[in-house]
Amino acid sequence: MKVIVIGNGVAGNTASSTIRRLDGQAEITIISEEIYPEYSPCALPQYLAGELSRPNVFLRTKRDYSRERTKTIFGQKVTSISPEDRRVSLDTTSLTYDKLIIATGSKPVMLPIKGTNLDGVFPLKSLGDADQIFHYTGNTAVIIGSGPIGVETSVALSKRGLQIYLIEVLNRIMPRVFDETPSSLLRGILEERGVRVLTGEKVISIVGNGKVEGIVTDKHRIKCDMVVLGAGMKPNIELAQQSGVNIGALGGIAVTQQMMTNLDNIYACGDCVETEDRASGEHTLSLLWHNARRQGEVAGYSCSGVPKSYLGSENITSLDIFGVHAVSFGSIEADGNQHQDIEVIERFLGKNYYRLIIAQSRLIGAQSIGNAQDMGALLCALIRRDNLSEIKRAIDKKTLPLNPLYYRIARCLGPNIRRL
Amino acid sequence: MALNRKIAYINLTKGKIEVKSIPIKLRKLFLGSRGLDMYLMYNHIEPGTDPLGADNVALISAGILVGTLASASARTHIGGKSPLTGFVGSTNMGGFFAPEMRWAGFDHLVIKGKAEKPVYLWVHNGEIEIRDALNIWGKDVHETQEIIREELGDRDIKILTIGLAGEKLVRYANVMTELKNAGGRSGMGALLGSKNLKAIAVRGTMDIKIEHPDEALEYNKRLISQVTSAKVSQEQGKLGTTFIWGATNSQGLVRVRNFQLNQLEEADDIEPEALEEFSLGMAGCFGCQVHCRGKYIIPSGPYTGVYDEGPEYTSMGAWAAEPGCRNPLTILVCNHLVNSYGLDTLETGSMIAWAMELYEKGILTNKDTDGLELRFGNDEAVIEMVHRIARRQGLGDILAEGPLRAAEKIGKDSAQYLIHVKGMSNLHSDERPTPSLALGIATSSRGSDHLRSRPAIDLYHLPEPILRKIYSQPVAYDGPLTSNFTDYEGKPWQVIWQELCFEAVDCLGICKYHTLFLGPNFPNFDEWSKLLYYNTGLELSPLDIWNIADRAYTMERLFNIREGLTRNDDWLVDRYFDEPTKLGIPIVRGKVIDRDKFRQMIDEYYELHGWDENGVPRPETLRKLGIDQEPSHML
Amino acid sequence: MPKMLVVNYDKCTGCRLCELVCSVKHEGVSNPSRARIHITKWEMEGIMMPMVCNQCEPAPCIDACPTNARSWDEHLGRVVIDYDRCIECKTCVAVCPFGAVSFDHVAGRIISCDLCDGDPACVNFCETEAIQYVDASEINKRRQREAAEKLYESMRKFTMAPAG
Ligand SMILES: Cc1cc2nc3c(=O)[nH]c(=O)nc-3n(C[C@H](O)[C@H](O)[C@H](O)COP(=O)(O)OP(=O)(O)OC[C@H]3O[C@@H](n4cnc5c(N)ncnc54)[C@H](O)[C@@H]3O)c2cc1C
Repeated sequence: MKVIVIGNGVAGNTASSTIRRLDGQAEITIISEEIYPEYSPCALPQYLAGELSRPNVFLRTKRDYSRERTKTIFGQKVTSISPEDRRVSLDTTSLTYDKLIIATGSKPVMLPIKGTNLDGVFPLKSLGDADQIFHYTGNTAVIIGSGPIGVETSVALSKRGLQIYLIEVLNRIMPRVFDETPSSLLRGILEERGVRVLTGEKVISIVGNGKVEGIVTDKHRIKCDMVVLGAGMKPNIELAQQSGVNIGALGGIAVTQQMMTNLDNIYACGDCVETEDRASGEHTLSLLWHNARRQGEVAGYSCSGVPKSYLGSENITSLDIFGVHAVSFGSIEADGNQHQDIEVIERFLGKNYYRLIIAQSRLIGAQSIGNAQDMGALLCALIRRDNLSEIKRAIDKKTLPLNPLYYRIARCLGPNIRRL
Repeated sequence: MALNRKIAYINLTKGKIEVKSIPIKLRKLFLGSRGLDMYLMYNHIEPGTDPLGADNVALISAGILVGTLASASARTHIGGKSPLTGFVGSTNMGGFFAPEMRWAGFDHLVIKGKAEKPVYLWVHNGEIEIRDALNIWGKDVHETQEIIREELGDRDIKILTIGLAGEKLVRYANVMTELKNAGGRSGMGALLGSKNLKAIAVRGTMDIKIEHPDEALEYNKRLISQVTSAKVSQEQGKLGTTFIWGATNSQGLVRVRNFQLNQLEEADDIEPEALEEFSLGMAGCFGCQVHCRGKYIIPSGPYTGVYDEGPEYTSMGAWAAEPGCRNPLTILVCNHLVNSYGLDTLETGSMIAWAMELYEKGILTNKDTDGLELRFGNDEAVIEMVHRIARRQGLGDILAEGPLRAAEKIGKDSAQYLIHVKGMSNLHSDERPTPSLALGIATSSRGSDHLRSRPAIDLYHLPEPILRKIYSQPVAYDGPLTSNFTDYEGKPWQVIWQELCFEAVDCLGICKYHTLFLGPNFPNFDEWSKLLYYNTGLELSPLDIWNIADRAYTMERLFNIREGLTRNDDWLVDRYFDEPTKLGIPIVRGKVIDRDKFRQMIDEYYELHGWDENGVPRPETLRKLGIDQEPSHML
Repeated sequence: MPKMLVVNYDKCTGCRLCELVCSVKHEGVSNPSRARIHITKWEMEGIMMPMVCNQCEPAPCIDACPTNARSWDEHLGRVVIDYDRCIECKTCVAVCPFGAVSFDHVAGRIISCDLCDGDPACVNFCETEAIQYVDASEINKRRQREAAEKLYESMRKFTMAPAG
């Protein structure tokens, strides 16, 4: 069996390793337009902050691939796929396959503003991007977009000693993962450390003469030496789309639970696909590491003829902001798609904060700031769609054996448990 | 290292907090906790201070081995001038407060003045904050802790608190932590209440460095098996300290109906084994493998479903034998009530039993009790009186004043029925057959008490050579020692030995059940010397520790003498000498304490201590102990 | 056969000696906040629950780690952590159903039970045998699952369900 994997991220690599585990004979080739062996994009902010050395960003060495007898073609882009003759074309060559796995990941959303081509404007997606930022000199950086990556980048560059402006068009930071209150608490932490946070402000253009000199928003002009685009990621699907692979409503490759596309022998996994959310059952683009990895694993299984089902994506955000742990699971209250009756339980416990989003006695989201030791139990309840009233009843009745997870959940709820 | 914990002076009147280091010199003189508290008491409390006035000082401390690998190193000490006796106030409790306080960076809190409004202290990682306690004032011990944990946002916060009894200045109010860990004796709860200090919350995440971790781990393991292999520990770990009550009742060594009898007959329903029926298993204090805290849920009645812990030995006397009750439910309920009100179970039970005898004798009538039939054996009345004492209602208001003051108010010859020493009620045991134990309670520095000195192994009939081995270290002793607990000879030395043994562990912060208390093979000075070295690096020989204990105990004596204590205060009530025991096994039956022999015992006890015939430490004794210049104000 | 820790919640007396010996053995200090085991307590209800890494297989912390810093050690049957790779995003802390992964604020690193390399101190010191170190046999694993009422396993095992 000849397998070609397009993409050297976690999805592609997990798929290839899974196939190798199941099939010693398969001929596997991983193709990537990047030149590096596998690394974790998630580690890039720490690399930028100087907290992680560059070699530690890598997850594999070239030798790891050969040990697994996986061929690699790095530094070449796949330019087209022809499903009819099972062939992929690269910049300089072409290859045939029996099975193809598309794991082309995601790419930064580009803003329709002037000046993004200037020297000193960077996305942060790849190691190449990070290297450039790392070596670029300047005193002031503007981060456009305050998603988790934008925030992590702000923290990282601030630790490097840069003056940071974090600009968000909506009225709060990390608007998709945190509701108003926790978001403003986190904003406070950033501001305390000198990060200037501007919300409800739209960047209109980046200005400079060949090189970034500043930005213009609808409210301010800010001088800066560098701009990092953190407006989010979107599935990287052009290649697939051109080859006739179906794209879903949210803009990710449409796949079955076995990670199969509409075309025979073509599978897709990772950031480039859209899936169902495990807790809510709704369609989602959940561009997260653990989801990409599990999808890669399922794709690997399917490819090898051992069908497994992907049970859905888990929306988990966890980040450290200057030593403060911020976590969000599932949906937030402010989610536009929210159509059910929602109850929010909010709890300030000293410096810690918990927020539980509950619909019909079921937890559909949870956010925390500070101690997150009990969040895992909440995640359990969320994914299992546990009925919280039943948990309360079990605790009240002291049903034996004691279920430790129930107690952890109750601990988060505190006296609010009476409201269930 | 374990020696770098700080002392904080908190002035509630001024809202001022000052933090200092504890000089190693003082460590070597007093180690810590009770020992150092006694030094602080002598140095910071002026003679004649009103115990409930702003000038009294509340001392909260953790032993020097607390939080280390010294098994059962969990003890918190609370000191100050006692609102009950006017002498040394000192009490000690287990649980988890003390280790948490050490992880928060402190060994000693010296609390002065009086807050204008109710406050509590929030002690965390080197910092102390005085916080408003209006919302917890009036709350019971259990609620208070839950509210503070919620307010400060951390379930692992440990809290020392007073209940309603402390707020109402009941003179034997407790300081409590968790459900039942009680700093019970000498009214330290009233002392905190008088300062408008509701609680102290602690939480810490600061390292206590263990000097020799591998040795400390290994040695801890050894001590654990030394302690847990003893049968008493196993019994205690199964039944709690109620097993002691069961054992002593079977011999006729307990107090029944306010000392009228020395054995509770037909006690089957409340034997420890019977109480086990209500047990939900056992809990332990920090680092302790004996786990003697019973857990129970009240099975029926108005308190059905309430969870609490205990009961302990003293609650058996207080809620069964003394009021002449035999209903396990009464024990469980009253135990819960005193825990949540923060009342000393021993003193409360004694006061009620005393009132019952007065009622029986017609000294108290229905008019005094507002119609409550305060008969022995009336369970309802007992429960009701607990409420009234805590809330200071009616007769309860009088009983809340403690033995001497209450007798003064009630008048007639009520005082003659009190069972007390120095104004503090005796343990619910009967010491008439046991001169050693009688001497222990008579001389105890904080008033009648079994936890200052109780050479309980005297009851075991140990062969003389074993006694000699025990009592000839760390200082030589070649006086008499006898295996018979009814003897008077040699007992003063046993009392002193045990006194210093208990003083030493109170400085270290180790539980007394992990000392030579209930068994001859338990750890003592030798072991503590090693523990100190492995855990803190402090090199003190067993004899050094003995001397520290001697010094600290003598400070307590000095304090009491300065407050007017005389030889007459080291004495028992007449009933010990005049009314023979009526029940029990032959050897305990028909026993009284012989006045003359007891007087001689006291002489001998003073002499062995280096005190004169009035019980005043001789100048050369003070010089030898290095406390001839007190108060020296080194801290 | 690798061995595993089994917690018997009913036997725990809540004394926290396990926390103490754990922090002494690993860090040479007494400091439960740096221990790999914690007794979660509900004092007012007498509930004490030792919480320690269950060495789950598959493990949510490994699964969610975005830098592969957490991995499975076949030999001892445990989750190990590669500090060179860890970026301290604390995802493992957040996803552990048992709250058994924590951040050691003194050493500045993630910690969880390492089974003391095969000789767990907590087990050695727990006289009531509330924590035991037993063969990771199917029977014991099942027992452990029952103790925790299968919660975690039932959730994770089927991240991938057999198709059909
Ligand atoms: C800065 C940053 C921080 C993050 N932090 C976290 C975090 O903390 N937690 C978390 O869960 N997630 C995080 N993420 C998201 C996470 O990194 C992604 O979800 C995950 O890496 C997706 O993996 P993937 O394999 O699907 O895609 P990618 O990692 O995007 O890999 C795609 C691969 O495809 C290759 N490729 C694409 N097109 C072609 C082509 N035409 N020809 C050849 N090769 C091609 C690319 O070169 C690349 O190798 C972070 C992302 C970033 C950028």
